[in-house]
Amino acid sequence: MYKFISASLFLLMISAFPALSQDKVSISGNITDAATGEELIGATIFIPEIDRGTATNVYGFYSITLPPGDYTLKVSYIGYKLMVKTISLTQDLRLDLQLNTSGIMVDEAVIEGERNATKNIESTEMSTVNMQMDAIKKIPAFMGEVDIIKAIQLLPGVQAAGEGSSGFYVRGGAVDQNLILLDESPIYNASHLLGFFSIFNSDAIKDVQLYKGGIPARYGGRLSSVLDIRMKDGNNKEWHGQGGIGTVSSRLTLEGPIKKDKGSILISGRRTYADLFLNFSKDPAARETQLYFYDFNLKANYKLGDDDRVYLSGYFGRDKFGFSDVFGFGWGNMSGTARWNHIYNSKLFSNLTVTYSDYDYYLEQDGEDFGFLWESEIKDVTTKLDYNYYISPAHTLQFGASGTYRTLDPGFARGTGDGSLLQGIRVPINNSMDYAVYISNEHRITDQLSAIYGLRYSLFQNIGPATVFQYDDNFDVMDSTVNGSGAYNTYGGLEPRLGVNYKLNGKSSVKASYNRTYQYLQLATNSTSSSPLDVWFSASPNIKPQIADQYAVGYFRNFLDNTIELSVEAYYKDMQNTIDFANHAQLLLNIHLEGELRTGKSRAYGLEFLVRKQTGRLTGLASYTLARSERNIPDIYGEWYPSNYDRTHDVSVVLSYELNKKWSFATNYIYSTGNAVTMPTGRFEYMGMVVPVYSTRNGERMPSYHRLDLSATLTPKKNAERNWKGEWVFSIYNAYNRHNAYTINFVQDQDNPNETYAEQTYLLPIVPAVTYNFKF
Amino acid sequence: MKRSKIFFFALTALFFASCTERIDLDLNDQDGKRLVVEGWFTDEEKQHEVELTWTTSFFFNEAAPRVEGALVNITDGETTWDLTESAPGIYITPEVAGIPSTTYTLNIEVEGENYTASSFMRPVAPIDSLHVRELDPFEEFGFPGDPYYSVRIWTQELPGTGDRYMWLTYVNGVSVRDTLRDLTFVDDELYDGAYVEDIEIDFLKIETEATPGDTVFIEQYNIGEDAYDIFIGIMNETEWNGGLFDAPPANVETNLSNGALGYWGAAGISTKSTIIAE
Repeated sequence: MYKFISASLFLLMISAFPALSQDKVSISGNITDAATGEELIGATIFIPEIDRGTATNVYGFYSITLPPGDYTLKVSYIGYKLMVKTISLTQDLRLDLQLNTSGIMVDEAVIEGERNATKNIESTEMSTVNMQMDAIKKIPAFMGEVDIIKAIQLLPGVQAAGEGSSGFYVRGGAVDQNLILLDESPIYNASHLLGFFSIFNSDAIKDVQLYKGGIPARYGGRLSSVLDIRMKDGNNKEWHGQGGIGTVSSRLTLEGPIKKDKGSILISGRRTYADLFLNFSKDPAARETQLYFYDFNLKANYKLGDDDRVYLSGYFGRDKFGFSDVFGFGWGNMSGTARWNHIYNSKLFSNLTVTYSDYDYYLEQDGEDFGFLWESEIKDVTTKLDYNYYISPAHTLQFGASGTYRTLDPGFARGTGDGSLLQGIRVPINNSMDYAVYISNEHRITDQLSAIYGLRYSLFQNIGPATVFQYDDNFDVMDSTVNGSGAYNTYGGLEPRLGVNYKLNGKSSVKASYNRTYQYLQLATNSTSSSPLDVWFSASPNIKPQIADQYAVGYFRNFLDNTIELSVEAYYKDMQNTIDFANHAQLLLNIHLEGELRTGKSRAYGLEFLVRKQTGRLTGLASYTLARSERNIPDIYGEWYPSNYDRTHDVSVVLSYELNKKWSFATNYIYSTGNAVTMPTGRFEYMGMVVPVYSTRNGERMPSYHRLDLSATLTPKKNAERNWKGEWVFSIYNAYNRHNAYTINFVQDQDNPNETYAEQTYLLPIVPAVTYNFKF
Repeated sequence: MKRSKIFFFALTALFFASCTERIDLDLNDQDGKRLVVEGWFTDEEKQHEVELTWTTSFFFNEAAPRVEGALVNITDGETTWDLTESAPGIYITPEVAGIPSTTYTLNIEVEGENYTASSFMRPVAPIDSLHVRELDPFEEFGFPGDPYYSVRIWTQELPGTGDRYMWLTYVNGVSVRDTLRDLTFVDDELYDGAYVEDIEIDFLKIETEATPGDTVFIEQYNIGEDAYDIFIGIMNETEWNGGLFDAPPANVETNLSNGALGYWGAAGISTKSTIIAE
């Protein structure tokens, strides 16, 4: 079946090539911010004469092929003034464009003029949301810390794993099914302080794009989503800085030219002093607790010529949680990326990336006899080559290949004290290689109909030396095979990707998509929420890769001259080889971890509504998701049961209003059904213990989660004239102090052994904060 | 890996400056009641007890209702002993001793339903010596804490893994270890076949649980793997849960058929007593 699809796609793509022979010329170039030189990702150029347009790629590069003639280019990007330029095209033209920001036009009427129909209607991409950093910064933030991960959780189909947790769920997929990329480097744990903050310093970030479905062929490796985060390149005209001092952390970013208009550098740093607010805790133990994180971002780029540009990016961050000197627990990410963009000609753009990513965590306890240190690490090195080939106005080809070498070190524990009784235990290191090749074509078939179709082929290999255990029907270890160096197990598969867009008129369209994805790496998470101590493990002779097929349809419509975007989407996701853990599984330091796994299948389906307004004084979004996520794992439970994170309703409303040049206000409201949990339906007594009896797995619900956040931003008037601009942000998290349950436990009363009662633990009450942000 | 559980417990308790509060919760109470069985059959000559109760709704908050008028017997395949109801819900055998390395089966008939459980009686070596002495943890290990009476034994661990031990302690004839959370139970993986010398298997609080001159009597049961796993399951679902790293809740296993809960076991037992020195 898949051979047939791939053959058809190949034939369709070949049809693109006859277009080459016609007499056409191309305009190509980069679109940048006039003041900073920052490349604009996804800026659109619309040419009314041919009723077609194009958008810049992730490096700010665009290309469009036309017959020679006179044309009007309408160049636009959210937050920037529309640029209209006329050109006379006789031969290939290299045209770099600079756009000016539109600024806060509060005194004047909001002039949008003829805004280009947005990607909401035009793009073949569906189930994709792009969030502007300006919009993300307006969202009332916990402790005043702007957080990209929290912002995407406001979108339909994306749900937070909850307070104190590092993950998020996209369309009913587990936390490990999201590929998070920072300048193309995969990030394994995107959280600081167990999810209260993300590792992304918003001052260093330029663009955030989330793919929930219709995942393009150039991405692979995770089933449910791709969160593609791009760092800023840095102002290449003059030196500037920005930063903030907040209740919990402070940050500073400096950016400036290495050589004016040719290269720039950006450095960001951030550090918390979260320990401070714990000093006021009622709990004496909390006062002796150390809790901090810090992170650095570095980006440098240089134009070697008109056609070549090199980039270097790096991220380094660490978290530490400790109690006195007795124990500590910490983790951190480190990633580095080197890239080279090369423009071959007006139609062919390439990018070569080499990236290194390292995530590690440790747990230690001091003590002469019982001291120990437990460490775990995951490292990977990836090489990727991507091409954008803008063959003709109707066809844009993307193709490329990548290879990754990955090392998983799930756990090495050893005693550290002098009199230590603990010998070392090491869960064996696991090495693997991941390869992929892909090709995809964006095809404008008619004025109304366009499609993107592509094929990705991915291959996974386990690399020895390694010992593989075999398990019998009872999941007990039966035997083991020792493999020498070299590949000892291979999995691979074809991943077709297809998207179709049918424009009903200039204001609305209907889209549909299908994608198949493979995932070779999973996260062992035993608890009802994820934690930094979760263990990554890979496919192996005992574990097949997970496979997902996602189908989606949607209706998209813009209102009020493209200022209000509406989208309605329905999706269905079918997943094979889903993994879950046996009851009472032992995940830590378990050499036979694979024996704790149980496999089955899972599925998720839902309906999403999103309304967005991104321009004007009042901006914001409202989203609603109605969804179901369930699994069927025969060795755990005999029927379909809801996944832990199945949440029937999820509502988010974000509004931001600029009252005048001095004040702006914002609010957030979130409501979601509680997680599915197993709660007792009865009890019995045995040897003096009151033991709960459970019936259906995950048959009950936690109380629903809801809260309201508020913020107000004050920009003093004198700012306009000075170089140093500051603003004060006052925020209140959880304004009506809702005690959202984190866990519910059933406790047997020590004094009255017959009595049991329910107890909930909640994490965050109402939390006010003040932040001072500055720019110079 | 009990160590790591305790450790993570500590981690959780310390982690958040978070709050825990009591709440009212409406639970979906199951329909229908199920039989719960508790009892041991040992190789000691005595009247062995089987206790039968019913399950209740979760917030029942009273003692479990007792099952009256059940028909209960224990058999080794050849001989069958009928149990008589000596008190509501308590059924006793005649004076009889089991024989180690035999499989015994319990049969219950109540309200028209039949329930059965089997257990293999594992032998246990005699306790050679029992000694109770005062122990100060700070002097001995460097841990802070009050002195207590350390109950220590000398015995041979029988070779062959699969042995699981439970100790019940009586002071002056009265059991001080009625509740599972207070008991000591271990597996033999680390000590298989070893001669166990001067190992502490229980501790008694000075003054409150025992005083000089008291008689301390201990029973050492070899409860076997099934019972041990079930005890761990019960502790997981009761005392040890509530942490950050908990597994999702799951029903405790049982060796009873037909939807009954609890555990009925046959175990080899050895006993010893001593008097706490003045």
